[in-house]
Amino acid sequence: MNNITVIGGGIAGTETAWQIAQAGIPVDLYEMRPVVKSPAHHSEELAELVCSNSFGADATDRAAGLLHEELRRLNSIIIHTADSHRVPAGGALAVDRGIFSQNLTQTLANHPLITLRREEIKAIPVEGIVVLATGPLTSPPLAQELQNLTGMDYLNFFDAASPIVVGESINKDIAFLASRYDKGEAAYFNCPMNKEQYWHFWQELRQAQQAELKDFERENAKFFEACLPIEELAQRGEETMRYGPLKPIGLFDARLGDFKENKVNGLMV
Amino acid sequence: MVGFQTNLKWGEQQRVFRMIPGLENAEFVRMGVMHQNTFLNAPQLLKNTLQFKYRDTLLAAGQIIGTEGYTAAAAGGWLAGTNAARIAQNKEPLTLPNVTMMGALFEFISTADAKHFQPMPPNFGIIPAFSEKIRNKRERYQAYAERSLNALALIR
Repeated sequence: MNNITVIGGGIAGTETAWQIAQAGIPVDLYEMRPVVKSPAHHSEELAELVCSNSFGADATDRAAGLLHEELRRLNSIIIHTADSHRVPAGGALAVDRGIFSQNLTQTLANHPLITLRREEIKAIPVEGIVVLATGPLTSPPLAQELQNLTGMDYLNFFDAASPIVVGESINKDIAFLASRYDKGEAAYFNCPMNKEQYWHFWQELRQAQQAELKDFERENAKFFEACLPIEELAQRGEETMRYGPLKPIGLFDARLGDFKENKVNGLMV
Repeated sequence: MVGFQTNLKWGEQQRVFRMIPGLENAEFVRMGVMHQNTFLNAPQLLKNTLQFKYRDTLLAAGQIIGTEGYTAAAAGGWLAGTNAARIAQNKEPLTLPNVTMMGALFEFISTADAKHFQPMPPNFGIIPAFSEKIRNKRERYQAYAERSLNALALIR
């Protein structure tokens, strides 16, 4: 039987290749890293989690949680691996991202029907069955090829990733461990801010210098509401962050009491 | 830092974020970044089996088809992989019931208004409503979940 071609070794391509192999069909999985770098990835592992280590809420009466459960029942390797390397995160399914990706890379590389090829694909193969899983950072040559093939323009938007801070470097005399609404294990450090501190932070954030966008990026800059950069939220008004990541709801600290009642804002780190 | 996506210059990120009480001496493992995100116009190009309309043997999955989030990418991978295998075995490609979150998501991206197409995360708004509305939101979502998992049990 001819091999099926899967282009891209992110989350989607990893799951795709695994399901094909489970059906008993040989598959070539192409991943351009580390030969060609991507602007967002940091490793050469398959299924690297680029944005956050969380897959979202896990209860089935939440949209993400229902999707998790559907995939569990369909024997998704991504969800089974996430379940095996789960870390405490309130009601969310979150993982140790290093171990998660390393484990998937090994599992796929060791599968007798999966051949992992570290090459960039610049043109979609004309022959055979092909699955395109090249993600939001599809490499420019392939993006161009797709545009030619489909005869249509792409749509573009921006995606933004948060900074990561070393836990030990946080001042625990100020920050305290808690999860919002006390759900599950206390898994986040919360940094409380009084009104004055919040105001100063807001002022500085509004005036801070942004990184340069490339010309073509600036033209297309349409911020995606679910993933707005924090400085963009700050630009929209003094109160905006208090309805987003700095919302005071569901947090309680022995020293400060209930955040909402006492008008304290909190950031989860 | 939860919800702190940013395009500030790296030096500025350190300076401003260290104003947050408790983060005065914070050590940053990784700074925030922003990058361009590319996705196909799925309603014009794809069927709900994740096959391209113009070529049955070409399929797509992940963020490039306009689904959003890790789990949705795994879901797309599952369906594209399953259907690629079925095509190789001369079987009919599978369509997932639209009462499942997976089915609803792929139904949405393949039938949405192409002119205003934007990526979609999993959500209950794309699942067909019950004829009789359940008022309590949690109960309603729980009922959606039960209906979905029952429908899913029938397809394998």
